[in-house]
Amino acid sequence: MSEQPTRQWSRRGFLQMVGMGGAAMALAACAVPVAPAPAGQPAAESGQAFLNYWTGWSGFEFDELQKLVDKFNAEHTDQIFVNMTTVFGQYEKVLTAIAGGNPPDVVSAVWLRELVSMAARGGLQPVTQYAEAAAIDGSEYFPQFWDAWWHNEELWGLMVTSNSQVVAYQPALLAEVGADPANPPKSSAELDALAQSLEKMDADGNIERVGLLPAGLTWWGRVFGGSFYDAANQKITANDPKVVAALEWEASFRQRLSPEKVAAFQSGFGDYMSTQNSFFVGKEAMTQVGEWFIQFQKKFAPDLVMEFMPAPYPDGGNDNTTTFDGSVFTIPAGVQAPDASWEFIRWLSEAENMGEFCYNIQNVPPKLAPASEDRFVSDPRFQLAVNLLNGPHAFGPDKMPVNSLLYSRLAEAESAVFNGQMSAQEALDQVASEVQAELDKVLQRG
Amino acid sequence: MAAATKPHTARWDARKTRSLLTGLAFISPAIVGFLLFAAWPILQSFYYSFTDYNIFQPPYWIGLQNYQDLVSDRVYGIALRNTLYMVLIGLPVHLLFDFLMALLLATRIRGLSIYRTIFYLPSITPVVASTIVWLWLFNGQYGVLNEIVGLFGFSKIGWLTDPAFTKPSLIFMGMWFGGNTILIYLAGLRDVPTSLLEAAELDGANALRKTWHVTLPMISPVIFYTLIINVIGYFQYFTEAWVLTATRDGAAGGPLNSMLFYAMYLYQSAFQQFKMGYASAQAWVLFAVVLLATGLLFRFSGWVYYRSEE
Amino acid sequence: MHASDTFSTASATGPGRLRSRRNQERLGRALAYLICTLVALAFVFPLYWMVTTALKTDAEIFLVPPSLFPADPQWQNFAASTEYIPFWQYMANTLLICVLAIVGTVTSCSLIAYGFARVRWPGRNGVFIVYLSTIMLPAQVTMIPLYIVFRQIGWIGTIWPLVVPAFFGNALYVFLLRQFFMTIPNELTDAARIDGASELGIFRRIMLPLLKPALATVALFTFVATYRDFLGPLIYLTEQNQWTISLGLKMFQNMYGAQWQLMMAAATLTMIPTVILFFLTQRTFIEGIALTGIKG
Repeated sequence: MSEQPTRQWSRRGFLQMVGMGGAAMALAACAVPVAPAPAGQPAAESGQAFLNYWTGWSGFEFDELQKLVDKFNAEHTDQIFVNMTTVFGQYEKVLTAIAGGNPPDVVSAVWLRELVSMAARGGLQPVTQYAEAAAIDGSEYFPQFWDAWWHNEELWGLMVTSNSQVVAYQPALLAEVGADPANPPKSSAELDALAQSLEKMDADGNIERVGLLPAGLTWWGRVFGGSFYDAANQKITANDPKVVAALEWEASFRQRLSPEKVAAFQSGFGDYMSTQNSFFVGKEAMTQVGEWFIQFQKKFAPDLVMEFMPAPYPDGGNDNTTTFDGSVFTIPAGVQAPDASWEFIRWLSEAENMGEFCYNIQNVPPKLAPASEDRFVSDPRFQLAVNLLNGPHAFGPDKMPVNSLLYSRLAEAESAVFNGQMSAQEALDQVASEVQAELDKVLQRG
Repeated sequence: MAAATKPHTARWDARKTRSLLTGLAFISPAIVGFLLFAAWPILQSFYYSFTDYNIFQPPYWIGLQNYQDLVSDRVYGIALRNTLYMVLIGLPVHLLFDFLMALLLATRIRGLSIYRTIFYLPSITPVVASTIVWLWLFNGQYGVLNEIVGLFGFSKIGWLTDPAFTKPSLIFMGMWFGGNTILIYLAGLRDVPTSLLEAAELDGANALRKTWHVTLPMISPVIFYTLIINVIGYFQYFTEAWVLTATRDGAAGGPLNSMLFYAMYLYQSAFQQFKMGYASAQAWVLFAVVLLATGLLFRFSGWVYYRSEE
Repeated sequence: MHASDTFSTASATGPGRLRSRRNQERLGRALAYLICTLVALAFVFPLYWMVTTALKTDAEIFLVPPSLFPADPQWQNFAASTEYIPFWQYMANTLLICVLAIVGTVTSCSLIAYGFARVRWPGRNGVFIVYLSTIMLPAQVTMIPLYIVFRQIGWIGTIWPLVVPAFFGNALYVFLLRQFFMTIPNELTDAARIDGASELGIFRRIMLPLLKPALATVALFTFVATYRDFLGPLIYLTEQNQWTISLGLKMFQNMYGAQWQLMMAAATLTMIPTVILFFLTQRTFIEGIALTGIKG
């Protein structure tokens, strides 16, 4: 091989590369003084506020929300332009931007369970005075929602969607085992009996169908009448005897069927949002869902008859229990001109706009009037969800600053008990003591 | 290092000054880049590790408290053990596999360019697409892996649901992403002088002896590279496990936290539990461990043969 | 391609070889062929799955047992996927960032690596370990201060945080190039040095040509890493029209699931140019450091 060609490559190639590098650096240097003006957007007119709104929704939910944002922009020409971006629920983007002094003007990628966590740590601005000025006093909202957004006598944001927790069942399968589809179980004991009668094994003893595989202690703990936090004494009560009973009850389904077989059975569940959803294909006769599941049933199993029941409960438990969570529209700390931010939140919360978005993604509007519109509640299943959320046993997340830790440790405890690693009492004692230690630290340094 | 053996280098002289200035001139982009984009963030995170920093409010000095808390943090211990598992088992398995594949690809077989492309394909697949595909492959019921296992008469495996199988499953999946390492080995193998191999052959060495006595020493610099880089990488193992185990609620780690790795717990501490100070302490402990591990590897790198230091 | 001559020097055939040895070699090659094919099948299967998923209908994706061949290939999924997200815009954004990052990385890393590998200066190994240690600290804990640095420069919402650092080297690739630099025997440069060539001259005229394949490899790695990066673009880009393709692909997902067939179609499309480019240029990557002239 001759050396000449390579040598030429070297000189020319290297110089070209250095040249390109230099050009790029020059470009970069030019960009320095340029303010981070949003590219590709119409330059803000004088007096027009440019609002960056970060959402956690993506996919079809984002598209539906974009329609609403477009409507807002059309109604606010020359006043406010909302630029919506999704953060895919990636908290680090939101937190980094707030901590870095460059927050979005409105962010809804904040779960209700994190609202107090962020408010108590100074990450959000209260909207109490705005709400007062706009005569929003909560009378239009489901009472539990309105209450859930308050902390330290300040209002920290508003939700425009929400959801419930119910048990879905297939009447046909209940009839098959001789139960009355019109009268689903009311008590835990009845549910146990029904679930057992619905179980089916194949010749090798593998599970073919279950009645129900209850999971999710934050819900069942409430159904059993337990609580996770004593706000008055600032004590984590995850080992409340009623919560322990709920976990033992959840685990009893696995023990009866053998945890290994349940794990093998569950690992064969199809994609949730597909025709292969385990409930649609009859692997689960009953399943835990919310009203949002109706749209998936209509799409993926249009011929299936599906009914909802409130969670059956034991003696001393709560009837008509639902939990709720959801995205809260908030204004981060550090936003310099929150007036426009509030206007966007307020506008979205108008019954008409909220109702439109909720209808398109099949969630419950947090306001009573839109939620009782016919397009929602003509479906008795949706009506049940609305009733539960409007009832006395609708529970939001506890208002304390270490919910993320509590929820992840509860999930871990469930997993350990289901697998027979620990007793429910041991696991929940551990959760209570570990989360309490963390809470004490946060409160102490407050 | 080799320079130290020359007698006149004991004294500081003009030559030494000139070589120092030349060296610094060549690495000046690194120095400038370090000062611009790395130094301050690194110092800040070191400072955070001694504070209670909840991301929104100014850090509050608490001394060594974060480091003390780590000792008694049960879940931190789980994450640490899971990570050591990947470093001690996953890493050797992957490097060995990649090396063997590179050796095979370095032989003369037909359609070589197609094979090489195929082995590199997974490395350029978008993360979100490849992990979803693997989720389906691992699925207990309709997953293809269990179909194959079934062909051999075994019962179905809970690849990602049985805590005993989750980490081996991750290692299995990781073999798919060895494209970069295979490519580096291939480049190294290409440099093994033919004359040396021929000489060994004339001495009657078989393939195994040739590999051991000629090939390995000659490509030891790249093996050393992949070893160091992967030690650093595996201690920070994150993306695949996170995408495979993350739930809608933002929890991750799989059954019984069997797929909760160091960097995942660190992420949860920082961005889900708002404990950036605590996360920083975790990061600096990891830094110390990795620095120690790589330092030892450098210290005992006598087996690495550089032709420029003959 | 030119598979036969790629490794022509790997095992030269001599006339005085024993028959048994030749048979042995033939057997070995057959074995290598078999193993390569099996592993290649395993490697290609997930991709096959990705492409066939792109061609399936919503209902067919999750059939039990899974269907290996789409019953009725939905070719329109590809067009649909490029319409659901501004696909070409995202590809163009990604390529711009990739090209700039490659130019920066290759230029800076080769200089830095030369400084660490071929110039003997006191303390260079210690400094090298310190430099390498900058990638040992998990990025999560420097994310916020780094964001503040870029905000103070005024780069939030621009591509510069994703591009400019590349011009100041990357320890990962500096290390790789350093290893290759160090395998080059000193005789090659000693002569030039005696002739009075400057270090920069030696670097440019002797070393760079030898390192061409390694530089190509670094370019490839930089390209792939930049193109697959999710967090960087997510944190620093503020407008959806600036997005890269890795962010765009996530847009097919919603809270409960995704439009898998469209996502897989888009993912397949993003890979096609890279695969073709790799196939055509792969000889460069695996060539190794061409030690022409010093062999034997």
